[in-house]
Amino acid sequence: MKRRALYFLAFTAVALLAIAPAAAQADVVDTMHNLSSTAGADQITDISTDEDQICVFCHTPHQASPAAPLWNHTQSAVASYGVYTSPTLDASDITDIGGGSDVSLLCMSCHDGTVGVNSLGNPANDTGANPTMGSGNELNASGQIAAGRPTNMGSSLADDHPVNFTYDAALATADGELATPVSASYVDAAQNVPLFGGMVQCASCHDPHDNTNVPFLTMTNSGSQLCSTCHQK
Amino acid sequence: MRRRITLTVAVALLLAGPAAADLATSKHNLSTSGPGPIAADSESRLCVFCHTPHNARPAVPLWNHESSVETYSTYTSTTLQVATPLNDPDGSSKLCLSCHDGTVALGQTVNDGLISLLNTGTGGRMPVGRANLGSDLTDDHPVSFVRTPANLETVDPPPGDPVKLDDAGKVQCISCHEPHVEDIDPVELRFLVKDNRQSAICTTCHAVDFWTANPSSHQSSTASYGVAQGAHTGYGTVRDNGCASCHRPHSGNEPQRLLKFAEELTCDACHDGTVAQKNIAVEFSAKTYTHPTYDTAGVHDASEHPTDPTFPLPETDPGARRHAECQDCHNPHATYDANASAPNVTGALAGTWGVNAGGSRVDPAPYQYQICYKCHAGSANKPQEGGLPNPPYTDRQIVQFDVALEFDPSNPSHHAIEGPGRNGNVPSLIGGYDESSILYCTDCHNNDDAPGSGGTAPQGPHGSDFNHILERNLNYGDNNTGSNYGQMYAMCFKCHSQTSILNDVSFGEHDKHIRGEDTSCMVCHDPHGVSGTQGSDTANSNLINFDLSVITPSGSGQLRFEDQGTFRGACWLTCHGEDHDPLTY
Repeated sequence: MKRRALYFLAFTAVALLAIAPAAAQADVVDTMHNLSSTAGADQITDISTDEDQICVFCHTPHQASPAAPLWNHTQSAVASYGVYTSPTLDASDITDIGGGSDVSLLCMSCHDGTVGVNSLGNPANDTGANPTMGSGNELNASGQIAAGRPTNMGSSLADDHPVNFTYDAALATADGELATPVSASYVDAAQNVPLFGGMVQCASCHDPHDNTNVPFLTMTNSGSQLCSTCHQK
Repeated sequence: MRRRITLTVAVALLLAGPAAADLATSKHNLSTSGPGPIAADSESRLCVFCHTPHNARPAVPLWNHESSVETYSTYTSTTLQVATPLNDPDGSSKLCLSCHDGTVALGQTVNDGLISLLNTGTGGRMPVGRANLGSDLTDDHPVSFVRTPANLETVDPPPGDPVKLDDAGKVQCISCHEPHVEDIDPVELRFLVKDNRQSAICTTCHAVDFWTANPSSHQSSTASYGVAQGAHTGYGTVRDNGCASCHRPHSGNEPQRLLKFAEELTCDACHDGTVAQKNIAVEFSAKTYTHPTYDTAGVHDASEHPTDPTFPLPETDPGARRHAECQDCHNPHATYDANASAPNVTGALAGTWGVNAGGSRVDPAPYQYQICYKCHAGSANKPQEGGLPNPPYTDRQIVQFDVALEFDPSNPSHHAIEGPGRNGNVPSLIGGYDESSILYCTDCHNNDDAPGSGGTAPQGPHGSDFNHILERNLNYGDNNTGSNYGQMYAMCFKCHSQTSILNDVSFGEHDKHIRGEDTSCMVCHDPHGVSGTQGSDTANSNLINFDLSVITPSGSGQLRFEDQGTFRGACWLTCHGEDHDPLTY
């Protein structure tokens, strides 16, 4: 019975690989992160009125800053976001991403609400200027994520899950209720939850290009599966 | 990416097996996968009811449940050694109360709206029941306070113990409860931080005097005490229930000191023949004369102390109601099975404070009489001279109701409570007693069905069918007709040989008075003693203190006894119409 069940599951997995249609929002075009005027599914209302390039809001092929990941969006000037602290927190190297060069800071160039989503380092050649955005819905007149939006996290990360800290076997042991990461690159053997040089960053939980698992989660959180990949309560 | 998703599904399915003891299997899993009955009808996420990764309110611990704005009545007690009453809960305890005070819907979140749940109480809130603490926290173990080192019966949990204080050093709900795991204590199943068998959690902080040192019978007894007998824990013996045999950390019937019931009702839940070997409760209901334990409620207080302004004991108010609760004589944390010899306390009275002969508190009282002295010595509300109480006491020539004065070893005469008696020649003594013996108060004042009088009922002056809670019958006054002297004066003849007395071995006229004139021992003798502040060695040796209801002055107007040496004396009085003016022997 058990063996038959395993065969069934394996077959199911293979079948899904073969026949699964392109899931909605599996492509950045069909997500809220497509800020261009190009029509895509599930875009925000205040998309650009004049810029049809999609990648340009975040990436540029040349003269990127920072170079990796070929970043094109103006970075936030917020010098300090603070960090989450708690008496039961065992991570000892949580570092404020403000003013630094940690990868999570790139996300904050839009999501702290201080810089317009259309503030680019190298605007597209066809327009030659920062894109013009709609406003009054998700964005304000300055193109910033509007105050009060859940996606506007403000300039404090003290009330957010910590990022920018080392997550390794030592931390798992110290905490007692955390899974031991399989490597410095992934928490889990299935490679759903990535680490960045052994650190938890925004992109450990969020994949900005794929909104299959709303909101841009790296895996499904049905049954709190994403949370419980690390947190074993 | 597609590949990753499908692999995840496969792995998750493969890993799904019998669930370990964790959040998923607990009542705190309110998602569709929870054990119910309260569970979501569509929300599959477990964490979301309490936690959120972003914009948490409050930030720590990434809290997502809508907070309560309730104000609370908090625990207060006369023996609490921190601020009374305590402040409203703070810190993480507020988070627990966001569901457990019953004012906010269980599915009401900060960032995920109102999550629909099945089988909730009214308005989606916690159903009425033990998990719903309400806004009245006076009957719940206090939280959000810092222990005071002045309380020598508490300690901080040791480092690394599952019982923890918060970073401010405060006791919080999570000091005892682990909200993510229900069955660390697999019997109680109350999300406890560790196995609470034998009160391991309670005793992490509560280092109660005597509890483990004696150890208390309540700590060590293997008597059956389970659900059928009223245990609320699931444990089946007194020892395993530990503190919980008498206390409830939440919603007991007696808020102060978190007792399961008020006063003696906590004790008689077991001492009524159902758990403890002896039925103490029936002594109070079946006997004619009892200590006023069941008759008096709300008078006794655990903070009683000679210097306590609110609850002084000995009493300072003559109008205060007499009381005697179980805890006045017994310390349930200390009491154990141990014999002793007078005047030392037995195990039953161990660890109880008392009042010494000088009127000062002694804690614990080493001697039994010191426990009696709490109420029967200098208390202002004991029977008063000039106003004989009900039941009537003998109307004596020298009136004294302070038994500490009556038993003072320097008195002209006294029974041997604090020390041996004054009279070095008492030929009537039997039963192992001699002139150097010391007595317990309970040698005379005791259960009339206890072993002291040949019965099997529990020891102690809880109640007796004989007045003054005497162990044996004692006739008073005059006109005691009949010939069963052993019955009429059984109390005295317990230690003083009836044969010796009636054969006039000491006082040559005992037989004439007792048999010839039907007069009680109590007409001439005052059993406690005669205070040196009132009597004299000449007039009041041999416990002589006349009963004025029987004896009147002599023809020359005198009413006195004069000690004239061994077994010799003179009396000036009139009795049965016979003038002793004086008569000598």
